[in-house]
Amino acid sequence: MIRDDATFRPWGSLSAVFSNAPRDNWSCIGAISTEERSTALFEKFCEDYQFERTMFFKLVPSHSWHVNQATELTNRNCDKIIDLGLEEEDILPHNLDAPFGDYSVGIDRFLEELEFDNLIVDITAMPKRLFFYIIKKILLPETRISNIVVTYTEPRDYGVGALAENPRAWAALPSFLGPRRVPAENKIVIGIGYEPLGLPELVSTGEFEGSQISLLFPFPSQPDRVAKNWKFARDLFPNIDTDVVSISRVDGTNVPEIFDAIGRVGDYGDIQLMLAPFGPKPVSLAMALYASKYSNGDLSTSVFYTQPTVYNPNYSLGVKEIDGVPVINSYCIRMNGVNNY
Amino acid sequence: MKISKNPFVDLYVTEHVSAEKFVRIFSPILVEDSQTHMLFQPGNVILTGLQGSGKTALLNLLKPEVFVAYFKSDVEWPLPSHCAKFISAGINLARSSAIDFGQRQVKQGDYDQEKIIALYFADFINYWIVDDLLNTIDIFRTEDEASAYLGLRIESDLLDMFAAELSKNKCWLGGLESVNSYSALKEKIAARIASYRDFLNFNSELPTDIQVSKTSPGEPISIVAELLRNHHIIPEELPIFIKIDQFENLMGLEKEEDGSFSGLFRSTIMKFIGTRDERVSYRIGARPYSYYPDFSMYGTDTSVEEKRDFQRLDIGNLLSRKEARLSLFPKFCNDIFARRLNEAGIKLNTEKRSATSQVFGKRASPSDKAKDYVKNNFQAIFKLPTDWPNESKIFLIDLAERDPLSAKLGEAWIMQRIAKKQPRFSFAEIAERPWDQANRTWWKKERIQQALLQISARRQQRMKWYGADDVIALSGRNVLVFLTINQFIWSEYLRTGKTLDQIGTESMPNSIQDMGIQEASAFWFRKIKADPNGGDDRHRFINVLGSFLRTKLREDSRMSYPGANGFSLSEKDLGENLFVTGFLDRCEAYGVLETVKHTPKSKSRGQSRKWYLFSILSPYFQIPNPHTKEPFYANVDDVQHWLAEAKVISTSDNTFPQTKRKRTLKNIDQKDLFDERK
Repeated sequence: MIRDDATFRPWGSLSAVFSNAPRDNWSCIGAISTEERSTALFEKFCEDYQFERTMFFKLVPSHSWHVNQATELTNRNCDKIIDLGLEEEDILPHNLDAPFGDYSVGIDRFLEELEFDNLIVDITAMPKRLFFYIIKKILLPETRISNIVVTYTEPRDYGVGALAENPRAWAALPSFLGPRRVPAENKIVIGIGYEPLGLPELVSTGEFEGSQISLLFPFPSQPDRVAKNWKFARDLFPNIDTDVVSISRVDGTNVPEIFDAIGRVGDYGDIQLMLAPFGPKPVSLAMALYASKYSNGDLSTSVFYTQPTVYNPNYSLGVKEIDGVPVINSYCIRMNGVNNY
Repeated sequence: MKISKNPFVDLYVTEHVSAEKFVRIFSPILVEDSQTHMLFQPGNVILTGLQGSGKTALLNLLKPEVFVAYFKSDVEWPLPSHCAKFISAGINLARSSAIDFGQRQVKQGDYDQEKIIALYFADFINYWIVDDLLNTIDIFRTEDEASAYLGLRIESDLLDMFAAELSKNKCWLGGLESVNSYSALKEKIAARIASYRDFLNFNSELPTDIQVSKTSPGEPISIVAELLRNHHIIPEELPIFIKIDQFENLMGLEKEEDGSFSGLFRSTIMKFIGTRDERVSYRIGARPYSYYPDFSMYGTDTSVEEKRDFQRLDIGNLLSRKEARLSLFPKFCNDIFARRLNEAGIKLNTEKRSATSQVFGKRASPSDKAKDYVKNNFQAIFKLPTDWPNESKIFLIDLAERDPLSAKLGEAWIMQRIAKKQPRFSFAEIAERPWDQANRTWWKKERIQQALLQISARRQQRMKWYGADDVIALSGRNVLVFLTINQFIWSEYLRTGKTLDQIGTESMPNSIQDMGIQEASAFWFRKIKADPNGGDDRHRFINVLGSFLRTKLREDSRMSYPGANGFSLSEKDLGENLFVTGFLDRCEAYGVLETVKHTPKSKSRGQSRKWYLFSILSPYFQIPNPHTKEPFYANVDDVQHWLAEAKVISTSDNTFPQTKRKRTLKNIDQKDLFDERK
């Protein structure tokens, strides 16, 4: 049931969301990585529909001891998606570690030239610095897109060992620098995930000194994932001072709920927030939506992260399926020209 | 009053605290060395130091807010009078977003992208620093006494005249057109910075008026300084210092695909200091590794030169011991320690005894540490060969009950003698304990730490660190490490339910100190992963290296190689393998390894460098931290083997040989007890 004061923000499986969506004029931005799931949306969507225009970033692995394996897996997924019908010239290869300007040029050009009404952004394999930027761009009022759906394919499982490594320095994601002078009243919201990527050391060396901190804890979840999340939280704050740190449990796939949880912390733009997206992709999507909405003036939301430069070639394994259907969570973020967030 | 807050809870205090608190906790020890005075006198200075060396604290002394806070407080300005009058402004390259220039692409006609972006970078820095200089003026505007002390005349009509004349200056290339008042000047500059931030934030392109009015590096800053003097707002002789901090972050913008660095942005900064302009003096805060060989200046064929264009102040050098000069570091630590405790309400009388030794006590003697590790099972510290004469074994076991350290050294002494196949020696000779005699002082001294390691390993005990000397030695001349160790020790102490007011009447228990030190060491090891430019790679590498060195020291029963808590590579090897050299340099840069040049015993190796774990990592790997004796003489194959084991490089890389020769310590030229050269 939708509350009277709440915006209708549909989300659910790909088939459920598209049962009420227009059938034609869809374009797509995505990314191809080592992960099998990075091609799932394209494969599933093209069973029933057709993309008018597409752009997929091929994420070329950085140098590491497993670069050969990572390159082979990425190439295999590229070949697969081409076999499924993606035009080869719609694939833009960029090194994972490339300056962001290399990516933004492609994104800006794609959006400028977009002539079709509807857009899917598949964030399944996209690094955060990419999809945060895309979300902000496409939600701008001047963007001529009627309907925007963000998709995220769940994996069957995650790999073992470190999933991501060699983080960059703590820095703002492109387009989310925040105000030049941070106001005295500010809060930090941290999405709890699996890989702390140097965040605990930042906390312990006083980077967040003097700020109220909210942790977004994905729950319920599978027991092994909950255990990993708790380890992350304990690494951050071995002895939580409840006067400074609060924990909010959020459904890790329910973007509208997470968006509102962040909104309550930041008083929907009245308190300056710094967001740290270390949690699952849907939690990060909610952060991207919030930061994009409240992005102007002295209280603009900043997003800081320690972007990894190396990913485990087996970051995730397979595609999660229910009754033989891949689980592709789909979120309507704009309907009929109106932003839902 | 019961005090239960950890006095060391905030590690980076000098970056976050108010100017008033900074004045109370700043340690003047560093500025006792007259070399540091160059920072407060005209002339360009490049200030270098690793993270946590105290660089930021020194640069903070230049801040106008801190200057005013000293002026208002009863704390004396920590420098002599000739270093007490100046104003300053500056930019932190990381926090200002200047480093984001490396992320954006710029298309402007046929110009080369790199050249254009460097020009914008310089223009941004010019405007940011001028904005900060005007902020400094504004701070003194409301501080009449401090302002009068400096001879400032900050009056509205003067400022308006200054602004009007400044805006007309050609250096701006029309960028400040239509400005006719001080407030309009500030607005115009703020608007330009805001445009740049929008650009760096990927929110917009640069407006046309910026595209056609890019200023030259440093020129507008000098013009502002000149006009402030011409309008008598600041006196002619008052120095203006311009800080540019976090220089090392520019390297991240310059990385080429082949792993080299273009030097583009650093050469732009060099242009600021290379103009030999006496109107302002620059202070560049940099980590040592961010130096580049030729110091070339952007857009020119010339380079800046040390001594002529700038002086270099190395904090690491200041804190080191040099032949006739004692290290300042222990004094520095003690002063910071006393100030932190004082701030927390614990007053110690430090006239006769240093603060750290009052709280942490003396370092335990090696002999006492050995007894602590052994407990009651004396025989277990040995691995005595079955073919040894019984009387020798009985003698050593009996000795171990009274002096286990001596007994363990005796075991090694006998083993060395047997290995050398020297003439049989008698029990009577052993009974005289030659290893403890005066003519073997160095032999013994060099092996004490290895003996302690082996005793603790045999008894399955953890090596322990406690006492003021251990705390300071493990800090490795890095004040951030010193504060980290203290943070963990005091956390452990408070966890026992005690309050800080009990300190002073009793010293910190050794077990608490040791627990805190072990925790701090584990923290520092974890922290390696958090650093950029390959933190996880370095973390895995150090894990492999630390374990390798410990095993070497533990299994060397004869104690023939007591210096194997470090390794050496020849400069020739380093020159031929740039990947290994670059990786080891980054390990040093990020405080993972320490390195020094040395001359090896074997002349054929030529000049070499040796590396040790950063001191604070010693407890984590259970390796002694003193650097004595010859290191393990490695070659590039060894290092590549460690790199492959740590998954920094793939075993299929061409650089890694598929068949690696067996490496032993036997072929290393080491002198020992029986060496005639002794």
